[in-house]
Amino acid sequence: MKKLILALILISLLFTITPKKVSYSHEITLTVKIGSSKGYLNGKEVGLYFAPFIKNGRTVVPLRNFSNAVDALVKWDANTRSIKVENAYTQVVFFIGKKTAFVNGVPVNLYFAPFIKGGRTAVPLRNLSEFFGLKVRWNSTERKIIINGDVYPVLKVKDDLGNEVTFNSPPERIVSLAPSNTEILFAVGAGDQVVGVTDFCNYPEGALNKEKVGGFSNPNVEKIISLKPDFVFGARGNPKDLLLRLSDMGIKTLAFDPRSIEDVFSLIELIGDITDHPDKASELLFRLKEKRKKIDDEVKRFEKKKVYLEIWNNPYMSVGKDTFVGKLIEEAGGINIAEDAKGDWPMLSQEYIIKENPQIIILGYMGADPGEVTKRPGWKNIDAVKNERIYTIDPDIIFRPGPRIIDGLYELFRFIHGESFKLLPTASLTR
Amino acid sequence: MKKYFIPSLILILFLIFILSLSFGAVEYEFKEIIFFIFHPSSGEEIILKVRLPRVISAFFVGASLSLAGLLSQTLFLNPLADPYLFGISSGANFFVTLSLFLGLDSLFAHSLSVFSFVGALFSTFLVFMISRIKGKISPLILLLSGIALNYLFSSFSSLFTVWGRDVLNKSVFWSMTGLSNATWLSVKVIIPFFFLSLIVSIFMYLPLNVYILGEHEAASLGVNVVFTRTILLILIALLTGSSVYVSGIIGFIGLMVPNILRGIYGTDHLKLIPLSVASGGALLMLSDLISRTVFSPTEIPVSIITSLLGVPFFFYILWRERPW
Repeated sequence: MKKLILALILISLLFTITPKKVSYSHEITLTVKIGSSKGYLNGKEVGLYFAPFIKNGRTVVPLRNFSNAVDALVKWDANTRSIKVENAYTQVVFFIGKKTAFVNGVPVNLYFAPFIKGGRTAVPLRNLSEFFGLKVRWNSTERKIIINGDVYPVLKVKDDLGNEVTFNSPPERIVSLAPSNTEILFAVGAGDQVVGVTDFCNYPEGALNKEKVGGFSNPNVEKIISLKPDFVFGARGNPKDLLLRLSDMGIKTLAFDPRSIEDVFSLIELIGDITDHPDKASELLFRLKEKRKKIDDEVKRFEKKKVYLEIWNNPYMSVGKDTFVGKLIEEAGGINIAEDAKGDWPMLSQEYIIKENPQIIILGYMGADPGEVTKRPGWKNIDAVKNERIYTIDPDIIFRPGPRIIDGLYELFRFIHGESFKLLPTASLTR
Repeated sequence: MKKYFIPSLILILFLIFILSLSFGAVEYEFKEIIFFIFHPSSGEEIILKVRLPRVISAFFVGASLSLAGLLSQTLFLNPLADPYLFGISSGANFFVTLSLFLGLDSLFAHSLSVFSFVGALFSTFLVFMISRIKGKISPLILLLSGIALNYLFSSFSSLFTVWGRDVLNKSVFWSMTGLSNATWLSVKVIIPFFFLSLIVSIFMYLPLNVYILGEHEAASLGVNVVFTRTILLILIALLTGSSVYVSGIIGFIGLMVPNILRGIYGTDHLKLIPLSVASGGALLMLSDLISRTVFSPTEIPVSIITSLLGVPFFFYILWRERPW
């Protein structure tokens, strides 16, 4: 039996579905809301058989409402407890209580097994939309889900500068003005739509081949305009007047200032919508949220430890509690010794560092050397030095409010609660 | 005032030293500090390895800058002369940046201190050559060319930091570091530069007293003007270069201290030199104490404090001298 299960798992792993492009002859837009049994199909109100809800982080919808929307026939086979859903493009067979389904005859692994709720079959929406070639847009603020085919919704977006932009079609020539923005664009699958990045955009590899528009604090306006962008994606730290100028010239320009992991998540979702990759964005978010939850759960098992995060050694500089990194340290189960210091990037007094006696020292800058720390006069009695708990971290993964931030959180967690390394896979989940 | 100045200076110096040792991000009782100092084997780290070397470094850097200020005022025959204002510090800083850019910082131990000295020497020489027209130093041109060179060297430093991104952090923060990373090693580095300059300048007090009367007068009184000038150039560069190497650019100490002292004691270098050293050391110890305690445990660059004190003073001297 065990072998059989293993074989089944292996087989199902072999086939991962690639959502195929299906062109429906008419518009399909199904809008549902978590917890509400009222939905809208192409603007008309429809009653749902049960209110959509979240299970294991996935949205569950009544199969019947979905099949109606895509003009599919549903056939229930009581012997095999299976449901066949079929329209002109796709045929899917689900089995109640089984994680494997057959899509056009090919076995595919579902996010969870279909089950019966209130006499109706409940299926993960994500699988359904993939099988039937529909995009899913998830609006986390309204907890609303919009399922539609080729229709790009008219998107009204307001940025953190108060600038409002309307997208009627996905942008094809995007200029990113921050490394974190570039990482988000590539992570949601919009890498091909990017035409320009900053000199500092070094991740992922694809970003290296893009045209450079200058620095982060001093991008070149002429270079940006010459790339004929239809969307300039800015960030806090870009010159404000440059963004306003681009906006005045009729270029869709948005700048954001994510201040928490939640902010980063909603930005990823928004960029997924704007660039017309909502599925990839919510897939990414699902994985990031799952990994974050695992880390958060792990963190609870450990006692908090005192952490000194050094961002420069001459003079000694650390991070304040209102910074992104400061929040990450806290979430990773650390007590930031600089949390009471003034300023976001405080220059810390050496005496204070020694007195605070951090248990963990993390060096986040280029050319950092744990050996150098141990040789500093007066530092040898610090716990972190005595116990050799000095680590270096790639500053890009903790300073950039982008998709790698959860990797950063994980790295911090690993360093802070060192002995628990093995509890989580080391491989990055975002790649 | 004159009568009480020296005893009160000694008292103030001692008081600032005690205060500097007592206050910081970590609080100690005075008895504890005394105990630690007399029991170096107690294993205490903060006072012995961090605070004490820092306070002593502050004294020597302040003393060096103040002496460099006095000597440059003598060299340029102008009370507004100061290693910071005249671009000598930024010249030293530029050479440090340049050698970081070229990867010469690990050529030999403390090789940067040598480059710092060379930079200071080069920029002092440059200011001197530019402002000396037909054998006379024009005060206005001196002031303007000093300030212009200050900007020029700062721009060059910025240029190289943009060019070589690795250098960026190293040198951008270099000038901010001040005394916060000072160790016993800093003390060891600055002491030979300082004492050499101090001893030489004390031995030269007579020619210096004559030199300030003017070139022709000094020559007619039998002073070798070129030799004196050369020695002064080297001393200023030694003092400024070593200070910049230890603590980055700290301004206005060399402007304030000698001018106050000259107001009380006149122009006798035999008095001015030791008094400048003591007062300069005390002033920087005090400024550093403020910079590390006012927002504790966050430190602010000590140059902010010295500039806040120094700029109004600069305007006062400018108004008094009216070099135009």
